[in-house]
Amino acid sequence: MKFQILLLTLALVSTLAVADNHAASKPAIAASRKINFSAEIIGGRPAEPSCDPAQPRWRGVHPHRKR
Amino acid sequence: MTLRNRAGEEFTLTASDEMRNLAQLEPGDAVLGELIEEVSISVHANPEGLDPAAAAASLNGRAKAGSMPGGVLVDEAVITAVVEAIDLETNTFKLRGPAGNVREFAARNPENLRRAAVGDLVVITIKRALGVVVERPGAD
Repeated sequence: MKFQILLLTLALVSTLAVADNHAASKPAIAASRKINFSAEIIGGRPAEPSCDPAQPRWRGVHPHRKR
Repeated sequence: MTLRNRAGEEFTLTASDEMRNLAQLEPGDAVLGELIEEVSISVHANPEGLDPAAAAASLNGRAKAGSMPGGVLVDEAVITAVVEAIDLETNTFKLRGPAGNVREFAARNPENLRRAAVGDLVVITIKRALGVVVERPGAD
């Protein structure tokens, strides 16, 4: 029984090694990045009604007013 | 709303209609965010002759009504392309994408071209996760 387990383990390790070799034989690349950001709210105002009747409200910046 | 980052720069954002709990915000609150992006490209033998394909999935969530604003967005896209041609002399290769378009690229590492073959499947995976929370200094 122990011998069978040993054989099974060897077979599994061999299979994994072959799979790893196959995976390594083809090109592969990976890249990642992590960006943390923080900011403090220093002001704000609610949305105001739009001067365009087609728009229910404008989103913070009046269409006829420059930023 | 107007925000100031750590460098002291000020910028103004306009909340979308989807943003919830805007009324909870007060000057002095801190907006904290984290963005994680990951891209992987791998080449695989394609004995079954799989055609190029593309798929994408996304998941998003936002804070409950009445709590401080916050949200999370996670999306992933997988695109496969087939190697149409490899030119070792010019160090270039051509890929056929899901839309059937063929585009030529230059290999950064010529050794990669020697390890690939025409017909191989190139799998490109793009993952992105963004989380944003608003915290009030001094609050638990």
